[in-house]
Amino acid sequence: MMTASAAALATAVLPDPARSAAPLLRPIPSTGETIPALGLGTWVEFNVGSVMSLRNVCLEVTRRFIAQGGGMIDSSPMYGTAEEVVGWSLARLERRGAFFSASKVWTPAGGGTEEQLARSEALWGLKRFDLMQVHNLVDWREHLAALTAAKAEGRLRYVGITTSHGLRHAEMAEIMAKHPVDFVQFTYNVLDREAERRLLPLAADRGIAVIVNRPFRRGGLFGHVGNAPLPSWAAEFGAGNWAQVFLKYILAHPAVTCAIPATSVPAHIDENMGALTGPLPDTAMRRRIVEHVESL
Amino acid sequence: MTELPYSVEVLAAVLGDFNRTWWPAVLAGLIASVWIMLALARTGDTGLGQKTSRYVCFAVAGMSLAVGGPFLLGTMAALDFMAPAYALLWLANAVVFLILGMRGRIRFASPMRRHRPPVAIVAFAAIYPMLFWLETDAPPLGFALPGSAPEPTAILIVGLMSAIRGRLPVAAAAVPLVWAAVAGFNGYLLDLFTPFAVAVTLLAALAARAVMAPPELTEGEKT
Repeated sequence: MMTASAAALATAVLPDPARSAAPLLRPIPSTGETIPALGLGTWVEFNVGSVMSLRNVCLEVTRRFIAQGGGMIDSSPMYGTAEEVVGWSLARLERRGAFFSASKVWTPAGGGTEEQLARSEALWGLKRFDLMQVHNLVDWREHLAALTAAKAEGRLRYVGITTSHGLRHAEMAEIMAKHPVDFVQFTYNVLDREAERRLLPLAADRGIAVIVNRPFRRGGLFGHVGNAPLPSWAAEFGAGNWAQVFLKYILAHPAVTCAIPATSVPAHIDENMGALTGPLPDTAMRRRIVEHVESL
Repeated sequence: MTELPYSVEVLAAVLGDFNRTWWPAVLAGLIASVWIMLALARTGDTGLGQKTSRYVCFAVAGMSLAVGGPFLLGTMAALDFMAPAYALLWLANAVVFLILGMRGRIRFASPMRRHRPPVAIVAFAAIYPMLFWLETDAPPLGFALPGSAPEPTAILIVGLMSAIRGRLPVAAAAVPLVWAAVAGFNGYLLDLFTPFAVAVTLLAALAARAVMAPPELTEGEKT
């Protein structure tokens, strides 16, 4: 199981004494299994084709992510060569350790659900995925039925649905209300808070795990804050940089299971993973974060 | 979708790999581009002869084949799910120019005294790789070269489009029109300036045709 091995790995290999506290784990409501609250996205950043210099950077990102207690690695056949690069990187780790594999089915990639599932397993070098999601709700009725059947047969452990950019929230809410999904994935960050209105409360109410994509607005949040200094009160919830402020803001929402920032910069992994430890901002502090970031 | 699935850094690195792997085709496309530019630059008032114009069409067909095949289908398709659709456009363009060349009814002209824009635009296609390289901070071989990469090849075709004597075949304008939009959109998404050059040169070519079109075909040339 992911839970025990991830926790053991995290406590065993954490190199930074400042991060000696246990990493933040969150339960998957449908089973109670816990996973680290930070994952790794691969959109754009792992789509590097066969360029070896860039693949080696992705390998280092993956190595640091797993060594520092990261959990979910999320990809999709729509991300070009990202799945292939994930599999390539995992195959080259000295210590593969525990991670939570998550990918998606996406009709235009060719073939039906089963073919896409098999292709992704081959690319990642896995016998079975932890989570398989319907990408951007594409052909969701067909895919969700097939994935649910595959889960029942033990071909995968969890099923989910995804969207991004704040799109199709109404349709996603309808699926969440009527269909048994384990995970949902959508965009949520300090400036894109549409999900707070309906999807996050609904996920909590229905017992559905939430994966947050675009936690930095594809890097746009860093452009938004520019050279603004980190507010002194960020230290109150253990944030040492803007990345940790943005991530802790998300992780402090009780309905959020994990956030999946994507990066191809190894040093950014070190920055991001700091958000896995220490206190989280309370409601008043979260409001303060929003007001401050919006004022910049 | 409002993002491309690859970054500028990856595009530049992939171009470097592509140029290294497919260097014979890349070199052939580059030589053909320079030859077209020189042929247009040396043309007199009546423009290129039928035979040379045929060769230009065949060269463009070969370039379009290189863009649609090795570059878009063979390289970019792994990174971008839209690449196969774009490849179809370029492969269709290869067929169009092959047919135009075989029919031999198309003639190009860019008389240096009266109608220089085509030469200027084709010459810009040769300059484009350096502008792209500088803007993207690409690796040493990460040039988008005319004859194998889409944007400079589209610019070269735009230049030729403005040099066609007489009525412009609609099919010959497909790549310039579509790629002006595709390159512009990609440039916008990647926050790059140089891909907008396709649209800019297209507008310049259309303006040039409107105010100083190449000489019409004579009755004898039409037959």
